[in-house]
Amino acid sequence: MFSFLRHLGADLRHSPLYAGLLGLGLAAFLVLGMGGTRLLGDDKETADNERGGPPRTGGHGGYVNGFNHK
Amino acid sequence: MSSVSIAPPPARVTCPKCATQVPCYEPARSQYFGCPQCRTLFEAAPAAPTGKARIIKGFRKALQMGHSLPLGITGVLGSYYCRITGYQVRTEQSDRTAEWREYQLRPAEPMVGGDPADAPLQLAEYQGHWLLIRRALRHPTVVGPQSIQDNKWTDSKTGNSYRMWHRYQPVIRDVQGEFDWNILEDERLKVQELVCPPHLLTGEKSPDRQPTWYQAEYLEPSQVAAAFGVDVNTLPSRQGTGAAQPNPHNLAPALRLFGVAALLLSLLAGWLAITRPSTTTTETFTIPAAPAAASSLPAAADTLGRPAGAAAVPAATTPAPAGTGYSQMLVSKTIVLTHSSAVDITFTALDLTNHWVEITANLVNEQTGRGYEVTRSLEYYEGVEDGESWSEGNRSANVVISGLPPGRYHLNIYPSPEAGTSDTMLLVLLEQHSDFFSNFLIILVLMSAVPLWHWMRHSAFESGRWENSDFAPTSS
Repeated sequence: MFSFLRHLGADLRHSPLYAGLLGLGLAAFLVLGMGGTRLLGDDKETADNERGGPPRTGGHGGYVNGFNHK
Repeated sequence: MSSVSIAPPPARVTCPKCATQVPCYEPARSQYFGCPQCRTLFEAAPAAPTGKARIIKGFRKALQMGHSLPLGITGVLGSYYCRITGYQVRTEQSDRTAEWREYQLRPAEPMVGGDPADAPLQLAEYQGHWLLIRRALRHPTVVGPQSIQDNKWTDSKTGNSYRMWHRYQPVIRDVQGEFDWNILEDERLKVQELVCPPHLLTGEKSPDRQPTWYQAEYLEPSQVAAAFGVDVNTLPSRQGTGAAQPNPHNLAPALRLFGVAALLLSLLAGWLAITRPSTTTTETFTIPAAPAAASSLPAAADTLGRPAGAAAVPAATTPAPAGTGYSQMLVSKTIVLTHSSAVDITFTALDLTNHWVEITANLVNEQTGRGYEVTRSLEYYEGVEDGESWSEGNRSANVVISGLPPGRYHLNIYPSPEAGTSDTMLLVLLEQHSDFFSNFLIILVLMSAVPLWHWMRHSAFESGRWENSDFAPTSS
């Protein structure tokens, strides 16, 4: 264990840029988690202060008479 | 190199072919000589100059490159003061395009009690890669003519694991200087080399003797230049990857840092999951059948988009305003987000078969009136064709709205069913959570980029090392 920590200390001194990037990644994960933010795949279509009114569009899902037109 | 001073030899022998005076630094020991002028190998006795020299062989092939360290030069190698007394060019019987040079090393000053076991014996150079060769103190046991079990051997004392690198039979192409054995006899040797950078084990087996083992250690050209006091630029430039060249792309530091960071990332993910647990709400609605011409009942709505009275009566359904295209507005119960988080919404049309319904939903913050709109189409078709059943589409769809501030929220759902269909049951599942596996994976992948880059360079270097070997790990 002591040997591993000694190696780790040397690694930190040898690769300070990578160590910094790793720290940044950890901090980003924490901030995203605290804010409930997903990096990819947020499905909301509006980010403005839109009022919760009726939808602006309707649709039929791409299917007409059972045939997929998408 | 011209500035390097070389001590005059204590004796000289005369070449029997061209009468050149060949230097001899060890007259009591050396018996075989290579003439640098006419490139003749001959046998002579420097201690008895009256004896007649005997020509053994003349080398005729034009050399591509001469020696880069002059005969007679001295240097300190591995704490031993050495002199280069002989030089030879070798190649392989099966591949005569590859040539390497071997420099014979002898002690430059007398040693009491004979040569020590770890005294350097030779320097070998191939394509600018240098090896310092000594006797091997430990070596593998050869089973049969030349085979080593699994072509691998581990030194039990050092733990170094050697892999078979090459097998060949040498051919002598050129000789200069002095030797204490007839080096042409080396052409009968069968040589095998095992590599464990920066070391290389060489076993030389003659037909009538047990193999003799030598251990080589890789030297940087700068180390050779410093040892002999010559300019490194006078030495051959390095090409490719040496068999025993240490891999400069060390994976271990990046892997150690990544391992620790991945552990911390996992701990953070666990901490988020524990301190901000998921909460789930489920509601079921009925989407009424849409007639061919949708009804147009007016509906009052408050400033939050909720129909009048919806806040007081959750899970209400309200007829849609005229001309909106949807059949009815459904309003969910209020959910409370106690901290910034995301809401994962799953719509499932339980009895959706052979038609579609489009769901537009608006998650509304009841304090601020801010709305977050999402749209999903649910469509599911099935049937039997030519005796085989088929299905396409999905009765469920999922959306995620992330980065929501704390507060009270409800969901306004605007379903648009296909005209002429019956009532559809809609199950809405809302899950509040803060931890995202996708975030974990993305950060983990980004953090692994540096060790991955190191691994690619490390692998490319190793590929270069083994491309000249018949025993490459991938082909074994």
